[in-house]
Amino acid sequence: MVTYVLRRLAGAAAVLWAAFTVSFLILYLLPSDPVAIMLDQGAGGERVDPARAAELRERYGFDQGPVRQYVTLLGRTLTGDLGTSISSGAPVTGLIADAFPETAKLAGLALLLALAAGVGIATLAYWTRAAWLRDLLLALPPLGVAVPGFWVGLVLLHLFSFTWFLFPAVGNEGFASLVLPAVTLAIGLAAVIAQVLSQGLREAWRAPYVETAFAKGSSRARVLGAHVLRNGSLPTVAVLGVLVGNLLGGTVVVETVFSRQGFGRLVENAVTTQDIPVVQGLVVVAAAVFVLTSLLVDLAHPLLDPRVLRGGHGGSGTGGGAR
Amino acid sequence: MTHLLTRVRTRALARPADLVALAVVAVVLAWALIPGLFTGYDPVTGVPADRLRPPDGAHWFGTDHLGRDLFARTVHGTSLSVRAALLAIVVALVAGSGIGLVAGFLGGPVDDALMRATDVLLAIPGLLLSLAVVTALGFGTVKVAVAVGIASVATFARVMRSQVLRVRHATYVEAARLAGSGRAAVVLRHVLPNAAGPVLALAAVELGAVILAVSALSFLGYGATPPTPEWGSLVAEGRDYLAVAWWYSTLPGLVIAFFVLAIGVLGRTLAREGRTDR
Repeated sequence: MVTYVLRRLAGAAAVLWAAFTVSFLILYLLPSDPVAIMLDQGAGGERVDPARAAELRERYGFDQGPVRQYVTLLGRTLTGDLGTSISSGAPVTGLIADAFPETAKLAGLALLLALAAGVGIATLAYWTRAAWLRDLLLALPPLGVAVPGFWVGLVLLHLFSFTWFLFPAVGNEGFASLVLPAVTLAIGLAAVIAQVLSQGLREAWRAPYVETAFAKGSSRARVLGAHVLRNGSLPTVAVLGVLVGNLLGGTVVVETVFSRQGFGRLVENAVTTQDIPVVQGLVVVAAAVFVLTSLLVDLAHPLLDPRVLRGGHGGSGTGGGAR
Repeated sequence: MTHLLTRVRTRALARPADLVALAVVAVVLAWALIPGLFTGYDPVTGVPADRLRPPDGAHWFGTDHLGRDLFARTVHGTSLSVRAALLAIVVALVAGSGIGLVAGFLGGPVDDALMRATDVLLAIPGLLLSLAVVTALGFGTVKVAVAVGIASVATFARVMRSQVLRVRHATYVEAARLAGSGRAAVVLRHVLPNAAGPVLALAAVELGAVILAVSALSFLGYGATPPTPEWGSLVAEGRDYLAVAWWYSTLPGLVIAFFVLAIGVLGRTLAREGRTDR
């Protein structure tokens, strides 16, 4: 068990470092001039002052070689300092820390809703004996995956805020303002959970132990609850890290639609102003959330499926397949 | 590949869902290729007197705040949105297949290094990865397409690698090697064609997700500059008129949803046929 935990911890740290490196490669080494972009933003298309450009280049370290820049940035990031925002001058760590609680509430509620709906749909589809009900339920996930999140948000806004006046249209005030954004965010996720889980359940139903359980006289509900669900849910648990990461990505759209403050809005603002240090900080934090969730899933995995502690190639949480 | 298509065709006759999906995709592709055939209105200049008209016989999707016909804007925006999605798929397919092919065929440390690198791409949420690329490259439809493509590279690399591992030691590959074919010839003539099926099916399945991603980035304002219509930005423009003009965002968004749904149905059928093929 100790080696298993240590191996997972080392893997998590490696993924985090690699995510930092990838975001550095993308943001700092792609053929674009960050300083020109920055000055462009401030000056509104006027001629760039070379002295100011040189000053900015020096302040943000762009005048150094890529390796030097990378080492400096990595060292600073390891001490918990993600640099300062170009557009506002505020420290990136503070910006993210301020935005995160709002988004954590939103994403947390969305995850709960998605789990309830996704697990509910898949379980009901494999519990019922009525073929029409199963077909109906299994037709829902492809629908949920196909609708654009930003569109769902706008339709909900139109109906619940502007037609029936049930929920506030914008802002972060109170629980009521959380409902529509969380539902919007949850739909796509619920669809994916329902798809992965129902596939797992379908395979688990065919396993020999199901026949054995029935032969011993277990009821349908008991076979489903004690045997099929436990084995069939393993693939879903394994992709939970990826799903939570995607949830964070989804907040960019949802928080923009509902004009909420939070992580996603911060991303949207930083990309619009091409604020490179903020974007990198956000990418690293998102990767950290993915890594932490995957780590928790990996650590909980042996409780569900003790086989992962034995085989050399058991747990498949970190870097799971589905995106 | 051709017999794969024939099988899909014969199966489709038996499945009404596939037939409907095929019709939706055909109509949308026709919009992309010859938009002028489907609407007589100009997508860019409007009639101010006709602003914010609800849908009726003259304006199927209603009009926007400048009196432009929204059906015309949706139809004319199709080309840009569909081309962006196809470009993204091509980027992901070419880069991902390349990585997967090299990793699977060479094996050993090269395989390890390439696969660890793609694992990292999976650790960053897809949309955020695309947004980081957009930050570095700048805004515009083509850049958005490339950014979305890069976010899908890892998935293609994994599937291609697993397929190459499957056929690498097949008898015909060994035979070609023993017959004296060079490495490149073996890969291009024997490994690639036999590994390509599931990868192409993945491209069909991913196309829907890619259209949603491209539309989302366009919705956020990183795509085409106004007044050029694009699916995502059309929905975004309607956001300011949500309380007074329900049709503005709703109908273009519905088109995206129908198209993605149709592609999903066809993609799953293709993938299923690909599986039973083996």
